Amino acid sequence: MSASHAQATTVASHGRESPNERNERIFQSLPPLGSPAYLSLLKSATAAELPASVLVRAYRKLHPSAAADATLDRLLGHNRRYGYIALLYTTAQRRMARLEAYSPEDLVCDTIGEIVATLAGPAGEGAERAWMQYLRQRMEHAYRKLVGRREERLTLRVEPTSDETSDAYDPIEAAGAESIPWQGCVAPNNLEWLETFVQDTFAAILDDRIRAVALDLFSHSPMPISSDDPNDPNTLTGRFGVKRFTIYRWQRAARAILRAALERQNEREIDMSFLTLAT
Amino acid sequence: MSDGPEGNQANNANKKQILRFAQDDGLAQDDGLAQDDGLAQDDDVLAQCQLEIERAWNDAKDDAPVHRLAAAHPELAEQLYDFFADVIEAGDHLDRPRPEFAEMDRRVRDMLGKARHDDQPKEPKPFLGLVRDVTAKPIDAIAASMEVPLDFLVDASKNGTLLPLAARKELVRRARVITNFGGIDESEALASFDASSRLRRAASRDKAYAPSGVTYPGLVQRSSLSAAEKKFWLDLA
Repeated sequence: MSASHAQATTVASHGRESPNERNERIFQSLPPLGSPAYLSLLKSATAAELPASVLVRAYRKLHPSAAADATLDRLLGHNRRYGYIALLYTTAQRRMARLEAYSPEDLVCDTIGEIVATLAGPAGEGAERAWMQYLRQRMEHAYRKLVGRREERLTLRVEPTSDETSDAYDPIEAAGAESIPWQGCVAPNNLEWLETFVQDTFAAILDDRIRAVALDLFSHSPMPISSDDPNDPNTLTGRFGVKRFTIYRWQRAARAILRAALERQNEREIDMSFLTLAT
Repeated sequence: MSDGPEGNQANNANKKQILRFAQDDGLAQDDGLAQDDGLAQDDDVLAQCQLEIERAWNDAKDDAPVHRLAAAHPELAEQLYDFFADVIEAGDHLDRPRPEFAEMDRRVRDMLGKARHDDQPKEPKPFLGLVRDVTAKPIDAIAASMEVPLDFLVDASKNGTLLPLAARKELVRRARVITNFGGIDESEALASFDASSRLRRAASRDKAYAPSGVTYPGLVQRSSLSAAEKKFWLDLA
């Protein structure tokens, strides 16, 4: 990751351009689409320098051509390096862990097949403005096709393998949810302000359980997520009667909500590295 | 799933999901699932909400829609917040070395290559090759069935671009007769005369063949067609 990108994703400051403004600026600064300079850029630019939305827009303009193929290769075929579709992997892992007959990789492959089949056509319209939603939709289509049409077949394959399987696939588990999140990250003179900001931000969550887990996560003494006793009232799973996986999801949502709010505010510069995925 | 409240909730959600897929796939009517209230509508609502959430964020970093929509659709609140997290975290995944994706990347690139190969327009076959593929007969048998000498058929196919449209149509008609008008597409067969086998052969040479200077009348005259047959084919020019 480039230093400038790291700065942009971890420090909140008001007045930064919106994602669409950034994408527009990048798109307008591209070399002529399909030119040798464009093809060279496809090989050299970081993902931060060439966001998925920009590639999608270029691909739709270039299709069909060899340059369009090169654009799609970069978008879909080099996730190890760029991570444009990393979301597909994590989502597929969450969904397919419960199925015996298929692997998350099967779902990812089928979803990519859906993308290849639709991105240049009407279903790909708007994908550059809502890439995440487009990916979700394609995965939904792929999932539907993969699990088949008959309810009996679905039922057989939706049998859980074990409680631990689904949790084991969850990438959020590694985030270390049971520690005070901003410890060591946020400057002491911002702590009091941040605590008030957290309270105000989470007040907007109308779902009682998600709000409670969010407030707990950013409290001075977060409650343990679980213990050996599934009904332990001193744990989040015991308190809410849900599995760890659900708590992880709510905590992930809480981080996203707080991060979004911090990006929007213009009162303080806050180091948000405690809210980003672990590197 | 466990027997606890979460287990029941998850099982219900699972069941709902299954029913939704079945309904989307057109099974609802057969299986009496049509009464399942508003499942497909839920899908649409969810998709629309997701779209609004992502666009609001991308347009103006506006996070208000996720709270508003979650309040308006409490049954979708968890999914909407989950999706919002996807949107916010998207940038975190970029430019991070993920060696565990290497094998999958290879599979994807293979898949893309194959898709492209399948999409490639097939090189049109010369007329005789096309007929041979459909009939699965030796070319002398094809020529006999079409009531033309083999040398004329081979020459006409090889120099198809010289043939006037009427001559092409006549050969295509005869080919379709011997296949009982099945298996040979007329327009494809007519276009096959433009597929020059000479080009393919020239590819292995240092330079292309020089134009032969042969004409359609010359092609007819040098064949073993009878005089009457020659007159018939020449009249088509």
